[in-house]
Amino acid sequence: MVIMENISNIKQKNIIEIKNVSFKYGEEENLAVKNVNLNIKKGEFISILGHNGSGKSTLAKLINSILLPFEGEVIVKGMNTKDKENLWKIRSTAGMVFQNPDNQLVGTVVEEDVAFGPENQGVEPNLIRKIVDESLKKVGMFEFRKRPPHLLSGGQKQRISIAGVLALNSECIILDEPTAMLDPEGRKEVMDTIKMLNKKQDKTIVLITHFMDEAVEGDRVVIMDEGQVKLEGSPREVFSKVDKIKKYGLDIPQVTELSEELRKEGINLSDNIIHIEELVNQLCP
Amino acid sequence: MSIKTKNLTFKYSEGTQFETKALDNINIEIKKGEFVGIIGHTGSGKSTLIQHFNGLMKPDEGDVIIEGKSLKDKKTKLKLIRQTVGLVFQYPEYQLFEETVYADVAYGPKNLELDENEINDRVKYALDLVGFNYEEIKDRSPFDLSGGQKRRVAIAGVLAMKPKYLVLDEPTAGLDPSGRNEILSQIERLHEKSKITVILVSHSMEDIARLVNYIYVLNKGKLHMEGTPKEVYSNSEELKRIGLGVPQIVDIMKELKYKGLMVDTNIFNIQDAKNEILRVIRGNSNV
Amino acid sequence: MFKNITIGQHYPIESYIHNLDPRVKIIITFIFIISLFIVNNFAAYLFVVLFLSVIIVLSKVPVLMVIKGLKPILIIIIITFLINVFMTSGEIIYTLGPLDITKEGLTQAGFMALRLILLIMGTSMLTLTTSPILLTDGIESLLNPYKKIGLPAHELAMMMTIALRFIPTLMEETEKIMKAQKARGADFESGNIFKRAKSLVPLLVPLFVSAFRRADDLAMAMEARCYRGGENRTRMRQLGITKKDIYAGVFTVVYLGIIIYSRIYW
Repeated sequence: MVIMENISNIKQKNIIEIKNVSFKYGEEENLAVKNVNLNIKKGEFISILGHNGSGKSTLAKLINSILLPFEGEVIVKGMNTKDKENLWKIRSTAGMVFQNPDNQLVGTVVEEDVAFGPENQGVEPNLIRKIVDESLKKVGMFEFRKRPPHLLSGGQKQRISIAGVLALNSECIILDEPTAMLDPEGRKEVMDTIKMLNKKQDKTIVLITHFMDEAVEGDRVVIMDEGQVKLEGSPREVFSKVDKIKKYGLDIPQVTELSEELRKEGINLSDNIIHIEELVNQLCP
Repeated sequence: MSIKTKNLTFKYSEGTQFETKALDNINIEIKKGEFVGIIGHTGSGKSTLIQHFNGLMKPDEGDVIIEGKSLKDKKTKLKLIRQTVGLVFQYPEYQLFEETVYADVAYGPKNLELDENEINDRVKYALDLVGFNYEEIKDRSPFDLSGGQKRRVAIAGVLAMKPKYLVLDEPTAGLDPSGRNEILSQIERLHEKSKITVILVSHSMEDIARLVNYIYVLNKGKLHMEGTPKEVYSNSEELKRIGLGVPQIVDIMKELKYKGLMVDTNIFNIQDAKNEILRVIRGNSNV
Repeated sequence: MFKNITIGQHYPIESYIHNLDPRVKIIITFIFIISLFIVNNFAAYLFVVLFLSVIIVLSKVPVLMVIKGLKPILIIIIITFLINVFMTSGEIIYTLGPLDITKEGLTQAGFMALRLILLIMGTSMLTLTTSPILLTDGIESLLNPYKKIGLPAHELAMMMTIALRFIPTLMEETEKIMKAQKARGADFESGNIFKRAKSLVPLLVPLFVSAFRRADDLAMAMEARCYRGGENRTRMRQLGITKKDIYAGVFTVVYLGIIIYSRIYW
């Protein structure tokens, strides 16, 4: 019994622990992040949703020590972000992909950019070549390795940035609104890549977004507003709270909203419908 | 009076082995007062098409006639065309440059060489149209504003030209849901209040369905389909085949019909869908 | 339109010269330039031209491409020629109105013009056969030893790489901003110099603001990927001297020897 418990504990280990964290920017009065508590398990796919200004991006930057908490602690794989010694190890463990596809790419050709991370880590040159090739293959961009970034589409650029993080051998990938500036095709490319990395490569994914249809893909959803965590749970649990979600400035899938409206009128439907098939099957058994 | 294209063709890398037709024989007519949507995947030619509406690009073959003036005619004054057709690009907040909101919005009218009083009136008019309190906003630096606010200032900058037609390229790009709703509501109000003809380019089927009364579907440079939302969205299979979608509500209604619930599938918003479903369900249970 | 501009006119093919180590090429170019200033008679120029020809042939770059590089400075070459022709005193052989053409003038002009032409062609060869990335790598490597006396070699190279990376992006953005302002009635073409300069403000301000924002974002992204300056940093691309580089080096040294000899003894 004890052995089973220990095994499940290992599986369930927290890779990121956010403990009573508060943060404010410079001279500002208001706390951008207010007393947030959140644990993220290894291998989990968690989405953090919120309108602009809700604190979600700030929270993301607190995880990989771009920002340091004003109060409370952020622990990444056992390392405290406040500890200067841990800085580079933390950033290697939790890599980050940002919103603007152009403003993250530093190399003049794709493979040079993906090599940037390992080069900074002082990895041996021959090994870097291998790492770069593998990372590009994982995101399906190996054929583009000699291209200059300005000739790529938005979705392709973001995949390169993801490859750049993979090259750091990060266990956890934080993505700060990675699809906000992309067209539907690009969004799909990026989401497919993220899902694959989570399912097949066991990467922990922290997705910051305001798109419900992206959050639906994850294991857990956290909704933030005014710097605090307001709702937390599985996508189904969270999306069923239609009115609350609207209050927090977010959208819900049309099917969820329609189901809620029908329920209010007395139609017998479950309260956590997020896919079209569910509504259709319940209305037309 | 309208914007009309006649066999409009535009080529990239003309004369080389890489020659491609960004626009292939496009024939459309957008009449005054309409609210039109242009949809198409990336690379379908949407951006190229709208740049012909205000003369930023000129056709290689065919013609574009704006309020009777042909782009092929050398005598046509482009400045006049740009006054008639206002074009707001994607992420227009990146074009702000002045020290105050007033000055930035006044840039357009200034280029038209209007007198100070007229410029003043227009700036007030434009800022009001996009929902700002003129006194509060006019002296602020555009760079101090939030993303959504900046975007509205940029749109005001084009509205100050008092265009008869307003073209908006993905006006909700990069905004969060509340930002999107705000901009779309403003555009709706704009169309109602000032009767401006609005041409909306968007990827979002939901946004288009909500606002427009006619849709043009572009695919690989060609005009693939056109019609009212009802007509266009009833072809959901075809739209999906060319890489576009339909508003989720349309999918829902179609699925329900397929499964035996005889609902009208020409519905694009949630309230109507709810009412229709209730109608059919309650109708059935009365039988 | 802007997407296809190549910086420094790199001509990407495979050749003996293309595959030489960029550091070697940079040093050879320097030596070539220095040799042009050592030469003081036309006979020696023969060797210069011979040296350059060997390089051009081995590089497989069409001669037309090399000569194209002269186009931008054609005016300067002509002015240099004319100034020297008319301004040098000596044995007058022809008079054109108030201006005298002297024998010394013709010689001097020809000399100077030739030097300029060969200078441009020589440096063109460097950029035609070396990609910007490799050029930057080469410069960084050559400047590395000077880090000890405080030269920020790595930082300079990083700045160059980032500049090269963003030039096409910024050009695209310039085009976008221009179109947006034109849609608001802006006119970048007509008017005198002052008017045109003023009309650039709505183009330059947004561009600068955007560039600063990009820099901010990029810095954060670089740090997120563990960038901390040049310390303990490795490079995936390694430069290596091969036999070919050694042959090229020897060839150049011999050439320099001949040139120096020509100055002393001819």
